[in-house]
Amino acid sequence: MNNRKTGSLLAAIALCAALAGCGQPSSGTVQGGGNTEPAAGVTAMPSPQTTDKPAPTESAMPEQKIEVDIYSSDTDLTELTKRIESISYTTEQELVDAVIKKLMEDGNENQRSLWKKIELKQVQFSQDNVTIDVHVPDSARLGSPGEALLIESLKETLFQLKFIDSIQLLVDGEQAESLMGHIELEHPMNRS
Amino acid sequence: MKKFTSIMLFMSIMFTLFAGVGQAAEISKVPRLFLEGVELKALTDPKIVDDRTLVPVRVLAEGLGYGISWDGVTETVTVENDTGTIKLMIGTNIALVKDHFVEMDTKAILENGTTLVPIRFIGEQFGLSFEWVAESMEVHMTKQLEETPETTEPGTTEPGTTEPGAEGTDPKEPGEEEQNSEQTSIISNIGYNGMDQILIFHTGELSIDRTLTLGDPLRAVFDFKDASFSEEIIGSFAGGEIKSMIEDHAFLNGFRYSLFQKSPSIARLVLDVKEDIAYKLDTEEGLTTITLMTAKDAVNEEGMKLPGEDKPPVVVDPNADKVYHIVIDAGHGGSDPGAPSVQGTREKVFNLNVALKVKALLEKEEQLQAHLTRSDDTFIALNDRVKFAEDLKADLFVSIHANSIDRANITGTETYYSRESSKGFANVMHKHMLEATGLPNRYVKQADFRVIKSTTMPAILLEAGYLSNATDAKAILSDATQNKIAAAIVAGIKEYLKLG
Repeated sequence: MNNRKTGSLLAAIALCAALAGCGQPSSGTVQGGGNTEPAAGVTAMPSPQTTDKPAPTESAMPEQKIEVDIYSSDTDLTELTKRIESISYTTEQELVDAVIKKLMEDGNENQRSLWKKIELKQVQFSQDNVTIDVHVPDSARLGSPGEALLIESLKETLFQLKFIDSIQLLVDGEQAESLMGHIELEHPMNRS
Repeated sequence: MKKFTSIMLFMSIMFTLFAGVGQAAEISKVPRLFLEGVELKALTDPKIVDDRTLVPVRVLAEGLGYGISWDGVTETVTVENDTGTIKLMIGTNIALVKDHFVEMDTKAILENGTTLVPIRFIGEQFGLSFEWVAESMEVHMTKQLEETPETTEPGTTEPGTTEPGAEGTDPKEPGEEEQNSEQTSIISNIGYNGMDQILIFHTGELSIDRTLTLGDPLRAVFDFKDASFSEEIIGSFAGGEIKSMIEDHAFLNGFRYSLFQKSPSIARLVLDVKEDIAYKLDTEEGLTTITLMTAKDAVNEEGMKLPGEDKPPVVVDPNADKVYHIVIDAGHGGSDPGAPSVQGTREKVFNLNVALKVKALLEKEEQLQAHLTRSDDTFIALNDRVKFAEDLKADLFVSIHANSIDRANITGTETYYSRESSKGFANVMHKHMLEATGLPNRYVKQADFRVIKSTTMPAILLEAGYLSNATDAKAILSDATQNKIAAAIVAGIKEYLKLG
């Protein structure tokens, strides 16, 4: 299932790359699903950008576009649902930042983000690992099924990006045993 | 198994033959023995016991030119020829032939100082063939290939003359009884059927001498009287036993069997078990089935007995005075407040309140001892909670939580298990929890939460209700409902453990 997903994602990337190569000015094509405005909570957060290097000057590769499934919770908190988001980027760090930002936003009523109240402190991509440092305000704490879906949504979403093999989730910079006191965090979580 | 069937067939033919012999012998006379046409005169006459003709071993051995010696201390007769030695022990049906144990179908006996052994055994081991002349009650033996089973009486064994000193010739009436008073059963195989049954394939009637429950490690012992094993099994004993492991069984680790005692012969079957078990024996011809279940499941089962007492478990509760150690785990605590509630009270407070109430209730239960992972507002790591329960070797683990999600409309009670072996406990507890909370049923679910995944006893995690829902929060944060929840948890524990 994961493989199939990855496969179609690769195809999408290849296609996008080809289009980009044609010099298409791939600006923000708006998705029909229409959840474009960023959630208020997220904008208030410190920028996940950690590296200054992706100089938006001319250095980089041409802007690329990708469609990514963003996982969230259904109305009944029984399973993950997903929506497709189209993301434009020029570097992998940019892509990771954008995907995590989308993960923290709600989709429609049946695509409510489990991460909405989590405070993102830093996202760092290097090699094949993403390190995400968060702060969990007490108001963000979920019950056990919520925490389970929250961790799953992160893994399902990020591991679509084939260049990510592991996710290191830190709580206030520490390798915490658990995010919310039910699920043990693996340090790091590896692509299974 | 196929081999077993053929043995059975063979045995039944033999029995039929013996019966004939027995009748022929009704003329109460003593059989006379002839070896190569020469009558063997023994101090002790051949004898028919349980339809087997027993002949004095000394006279035969000497007639064949074999050496024979008697060890009075061990009551062992040793017969030697150029191919090796045969040792016969009085009172057993096991002979040592060239260092291999061989089963005789009757025991060797000592009669007036003379060892008598089954003629059939002697025939096989000495390479003799027999002819039985019914009218004159004569046994003619020749050193040849064997042929006629028709006269061959399976001899039980008691080699004739062990002690030179003794004399005594008591003519025995051959074959006056058809029934063996002390029939020997030979076990040809013991197997596990993949479910909850042990199958024993055997000849004759297998009857229990006694059963036992032994501890540390826990095991159930079945001794079968006058029973031994086939030559093949005895030949493959390693360290005196054969051992089989059973993997992934709820209460069986494996089984092993051995010849516990040679004289009289007792075959022992030992079941290595994870908890007390009850059993039921079913016997059909040549097959005895031991059906097993846990002692606690057997309480209301017809016909199940406990090893040791052989009383039905209904009468005696095997765990009548066992004390169960129950870990009550109040979720979160200290720096981890758990979920917020619409009423402001944090989840950690609810969890601790209920845990303390459960502990108070369990203190009234003689067979239940509560152990709290925390009894105040302290942070405890998940792994430490697991270790706490494991170190205690707790019998059950109950983690108390209240739920929360960013959807105020979600309402209800959920019960979680991680390992399949905890599902039964979860089901029982959930029923009681629903009654106590009065909230919608959000069912028993599986999830790998740390404390229920990494513990090894039945472990469940209760999400009593949603603090993010106004109705749920109001209910479960009330003292009255918390009392009901605590009582429900105790009721669930008692029902699962089948305690009063």
